[in-house]
Amino acid sequence: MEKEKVISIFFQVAVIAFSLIVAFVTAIVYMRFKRNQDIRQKHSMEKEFAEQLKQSRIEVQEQTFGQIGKELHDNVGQLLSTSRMLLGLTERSLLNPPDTLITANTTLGEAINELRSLSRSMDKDWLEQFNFSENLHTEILRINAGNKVQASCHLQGMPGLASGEQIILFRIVQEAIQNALRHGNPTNISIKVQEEENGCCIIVEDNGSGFVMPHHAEGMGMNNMKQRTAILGGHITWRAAPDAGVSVFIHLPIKNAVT
Amino acid sequence: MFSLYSIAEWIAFLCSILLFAKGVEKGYRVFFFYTLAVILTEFAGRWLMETTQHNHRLFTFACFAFTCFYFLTLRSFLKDARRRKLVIILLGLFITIYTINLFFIQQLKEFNSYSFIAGYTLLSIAATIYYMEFIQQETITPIREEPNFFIVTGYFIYGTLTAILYTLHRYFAYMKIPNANYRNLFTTTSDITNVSLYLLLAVAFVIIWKRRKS
Repeated sequence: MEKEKVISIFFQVAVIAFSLIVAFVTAIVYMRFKRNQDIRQKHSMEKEFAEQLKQSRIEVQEQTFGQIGKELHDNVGQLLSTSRMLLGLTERSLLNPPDTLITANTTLGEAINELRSLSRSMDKDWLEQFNFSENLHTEILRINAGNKVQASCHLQGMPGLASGEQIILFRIVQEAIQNALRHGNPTNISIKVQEEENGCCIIVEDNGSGFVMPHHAEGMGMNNMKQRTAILGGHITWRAAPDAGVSVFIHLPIKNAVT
Repeated sequence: MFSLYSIAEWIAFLCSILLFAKGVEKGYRVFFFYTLAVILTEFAGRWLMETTQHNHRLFTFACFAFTCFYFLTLRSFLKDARRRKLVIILLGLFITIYTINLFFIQQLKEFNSYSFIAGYTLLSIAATIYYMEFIQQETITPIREEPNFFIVTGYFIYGTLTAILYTLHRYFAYMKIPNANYRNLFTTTSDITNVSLYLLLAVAFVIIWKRRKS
């Protein structure tokens, strides 16, 4: 009888042990599940923080652009206008004004126009009044006015973007054009839109001196363009070779490419 | 007749064939040979029993080999060098206990249950070490995609319950309770431990096969 009782007690012990093992394993599974949730939350917070950081960087840049634009218009522009007025007065006061004076007056007039359109292209408030295509056309006109570079754009199939997104895209294209003008010494710059399977691609091409693609080190400008494109949910790539010009491909996903 | 755990063994063996599919991590293929060895040992044990020969020597050696295999595979799942070293120390301890028991205590007169009570307890400790690392991992690890977790859980359930079972067995022998009185308890618990181990291994093999690189 006593032996049967011992067996019964140990049977209970075995059942309890099994239950405890199952409970222990369940607790491990639960702890892992909670840990996964924490890691996911941490990742999403980090991503959100990085997005905010990028956004605020862009905003600071926009403010700086705006300030430079205003300074150019209100300060340098005024000085140049006054100088032109004085030149005009001098020109009129002379019976036979020298050609150099007339040329200087005309050149100064061109410089004032150039400065005005440059300061307007930096002003965010001005940009918001127009869409991307109009802004780009103005930029093209400004470049062509210099008679050194022939710029053109074909924007059929251009994505419909929100105002803020249009500014970001405009800044990317503007940076690509400025890079070409500054470093490539091109005679032609073309901007076109190509439809893709999941969105569209805006291509900025030039026939300048090009460059050897850097593998690791990238300039501030390239990083800025990458960050801005990432904000639009897209990605940017470069194709360049010495003496073969540069092509910049701005790929935008379908959510930003609603025509 | 096939017992419940024999069916589970066969399921694990058949699933282990999946480990030879293209793109499966090669290291896992060792489990095919393990499940094959388990089935062969089972057949040999039954054959010895049917021919009225003792099979405790076979199981004393087979269980030793399998336990070492459990320790070594569990060690390979760990990433932290200190924890891996700890598992090797536990394995060393088990081998020492096994050797002492084989030569001086139970010898080859009976199944070396003392060695395996210690061995399976140490295996449970090793499994707990794995669980600690598993919980602390800084990467998102969905459990249904983690075959190592299923394998170690199989070892843990098998090791812990078998250690308790062998302890009871030794205690009943000490109390001089006849085998017939607790045979049902022994068979049922043994079935649960074996079925748990082999089914969890089978699940792990399917997960490994599903996440193979195409």
